[in-house]
Amino acid sequence: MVEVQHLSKTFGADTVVLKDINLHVKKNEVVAILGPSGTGKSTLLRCLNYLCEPTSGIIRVGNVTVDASKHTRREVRNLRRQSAMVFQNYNLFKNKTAKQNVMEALLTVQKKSRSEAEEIALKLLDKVGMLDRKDFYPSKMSGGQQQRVGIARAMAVNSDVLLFDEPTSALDPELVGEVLNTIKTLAEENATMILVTHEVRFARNVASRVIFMEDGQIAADGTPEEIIDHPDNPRLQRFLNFITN
Amino acid sequence: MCRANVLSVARNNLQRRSVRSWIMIFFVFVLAVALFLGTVLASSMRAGLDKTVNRLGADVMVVPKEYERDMADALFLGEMCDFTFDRDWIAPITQIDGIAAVSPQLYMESLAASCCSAQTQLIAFDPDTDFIITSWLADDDIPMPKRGEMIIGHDIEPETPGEIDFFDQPYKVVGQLEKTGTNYDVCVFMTYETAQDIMSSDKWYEVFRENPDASQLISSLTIRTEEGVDPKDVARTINFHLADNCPIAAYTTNGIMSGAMDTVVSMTGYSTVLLVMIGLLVVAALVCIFTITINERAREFGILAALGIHGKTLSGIVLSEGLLIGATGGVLGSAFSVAILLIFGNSFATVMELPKLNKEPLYLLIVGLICVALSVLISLAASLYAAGKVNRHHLDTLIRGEEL
Repeated sequence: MVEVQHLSKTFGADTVVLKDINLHVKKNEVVAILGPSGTGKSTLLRCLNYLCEPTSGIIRVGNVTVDASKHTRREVRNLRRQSAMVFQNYNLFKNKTAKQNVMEALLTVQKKSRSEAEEIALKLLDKVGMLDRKDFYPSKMSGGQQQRVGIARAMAVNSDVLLFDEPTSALDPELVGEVLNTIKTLAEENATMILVTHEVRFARNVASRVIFMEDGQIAADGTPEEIIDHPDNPRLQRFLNFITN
Repeated sequence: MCRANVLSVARNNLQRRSVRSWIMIFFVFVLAVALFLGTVLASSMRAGLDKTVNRLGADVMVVPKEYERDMADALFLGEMCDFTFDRDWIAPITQIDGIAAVSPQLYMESLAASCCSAQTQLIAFDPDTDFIITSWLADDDIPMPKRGEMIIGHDIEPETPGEIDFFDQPYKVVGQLEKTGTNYDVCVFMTYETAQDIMSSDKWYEVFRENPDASQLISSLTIRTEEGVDPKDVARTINFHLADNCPIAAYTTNGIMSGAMDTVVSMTGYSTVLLVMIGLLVVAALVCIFTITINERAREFGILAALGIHGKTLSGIVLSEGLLIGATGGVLGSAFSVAILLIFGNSFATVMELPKLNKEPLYLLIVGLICVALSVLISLAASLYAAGKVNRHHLDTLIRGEEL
């Protein structure tokens, strides 16, 4: 489903953020990316749909392949349409209601009719438990509610892969649960997801695979049991100790 | 995204920021009003001049020395004049080479009093020699007025149909000239015999304390030159033959009108400079607002792009906002200008000393369309920079909401 080959990203002249990343994510796999701050987790995720342009490497999502060394805008646009991003700070349109936020992509990108878009939006809002808030503007919703609308909006574009960039890090602790529950529901429906998160326990319960990143590289890659329960990488052990304690 | 959707998104964006949008529309509105009124006023002034010169039909005019400006003001601005000189000057001038026809005219002012139907310029002419008014009468199929009869300009409206009063005497109106768009529309024409009757009247004496012999007075001598002869040469020759201390001088018609023409040219120049400056200010203001706005909306554009919208479409949204602002401002400005012209046009003409404002619907429609087109162009030009920025910047920058 997702194939990354020799992906590198350098900011400026000498700030190397990603170093020769190779990754393969299968269909219906839920991959959690863990790691300390500044190790390139979010950058990797953003490179996957070219929100952030890689310096080199090849990315394939679904049947679209983009080579950083020779790509066209059309290829990037097609690649972007294979995935949908859930942002850390929700990024909802402030002037639109929950329903309108979800409908926007359906109307403008997928060019669905208003009635069809509305029907899909209501179904997705129901799925994330926000149907009763469908006419609420973001300013009248809690962070958790906004994030759930953000997830519904990402699902609306009906892409192959859902990308979550620290979806709970901007939330108050008491609101984290509702978002994680929503993501868990999606995982149980066999959606292909890649999540950057600091929620180790959540990753342990939901992910089918966990990747630990360090210094712009994948330092460990395995099942949740291998990575979280029995870490053999000393840096990973220190990280898990720090997070869990 | 289809074009209709882009326009719809742009319209929604503008509606959402209604205060900002109306401020931008106001800038374009001011520009459109300035363009519209400036164009109509300048062209009306020029058209009035051209029509007056064409209508006049004389190549050279002899008027009292230093009264050429008064003559121009009378012809172009409708100011009344009553300067005269003696008829004896006709004979020596007629003998000068290159002159095809010479005819005198006498100007009188009626009074803004109950004795006169209107305060207007009365013009007496000699039917035997006249080559100007006679041709107008022929064109409009109006009979030559006899003694006691008058021809009125198009805009003169007698209280009693077919009759007009001057200096307490009623005169028969035997014809009304077609509209010319010049100050001749508010003049009254008669023969020298009728002028003599007016100047001999008791009321005239009561007002001016004299009853002059109209047959001996001339206000201007209109001269048509022979084919192929330069009017300037004829005017120069007349002035050469006249003694230095004689009270009259010859001027070409264009020379007489040159002051007014210079005024029109300089007014048009100032008006163009002013319009260009207003245009530049409007562009600068719109560029600032568009740039501030897209910086404010960088994240929104980023999300739209992340959802799969083409970068060109994002630029299209900004350009469409420019288009809508330009079109709205242009249409409102033009409509407002038309309303102002229709309601206060006459006051404008009076204040600006214009013979006539061109208020023909087709002309106003064309000027309006040009103003709308220019407003749209200027607004689009102002939004180009912002549109380019949105398209050029990397998505990550947009989503992070960083300044573009």
